[in-house]
Amino acid sequence: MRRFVRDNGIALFFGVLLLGSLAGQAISGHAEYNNQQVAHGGAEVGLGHYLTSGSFATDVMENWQSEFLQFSLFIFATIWFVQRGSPESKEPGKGGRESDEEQRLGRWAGRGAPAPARRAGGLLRVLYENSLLLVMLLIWLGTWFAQSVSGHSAYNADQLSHHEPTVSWVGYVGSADFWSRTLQNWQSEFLALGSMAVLAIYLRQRGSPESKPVGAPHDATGVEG
Amino acid sequence: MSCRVDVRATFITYLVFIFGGIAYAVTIGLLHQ
Repeated sequence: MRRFVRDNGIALFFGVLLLGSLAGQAISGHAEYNNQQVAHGGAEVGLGHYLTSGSFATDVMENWQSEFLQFSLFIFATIWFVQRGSPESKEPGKGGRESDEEQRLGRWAGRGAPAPARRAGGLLRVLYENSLLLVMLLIWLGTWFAQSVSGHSAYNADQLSHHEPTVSWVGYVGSADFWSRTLQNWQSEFLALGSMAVLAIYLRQRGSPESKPVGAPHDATGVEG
Repeated sequence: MSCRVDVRATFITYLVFIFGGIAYAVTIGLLHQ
């Protein structure tokens, strides 16, 4: 047990923060939902009702999708683009998918290499070569779709409470509500990604693999601490 | 070996949570159409 905790510190740390934040969002979101209900002359609802409402589901999903888009784009962009001096970047001139030798594929696969990486080529190897990006993209599309479906439900519930006409799913996906929720999350993620790559050129955090070593030169690129 | 299994359990738990969350939100949305 002690070994499990030690070996999974990052996953456990963020897992606990996730569950705590989600619980906090549920409680505060429930209170705010009921404030709106009362303000509009409606009846207060229980926590279970709120947690199974489109309102809660779309609030969760709109944040999830932007995070997975963020990491998908970061994985993709850092294959091709370089930021001189950043620990998040490869060295200038090394943009691209790199050779089989550099990626330890096929006959360059060493001991312990995953089975698909040992293959000389083929679909399975191509899928495995890109599996991190593919799964992150799949989750992004899944969460964005989930945001649209649950947001559609919440939007129509709101329309009905105001005695206004409901919209179709396609109509909702083209609505200001959907794109406002989507883009307000995207812009913050893109700022965070750019900042992460740029601030670490001149700033350091001793002991973090996200930073260069404290004594590394400012123009050193792709060096992790 | 046990180390590898421990890490695999963490990996699977995260994936199950994520796809479970997606399934939950889609189900909620479809049920309240």
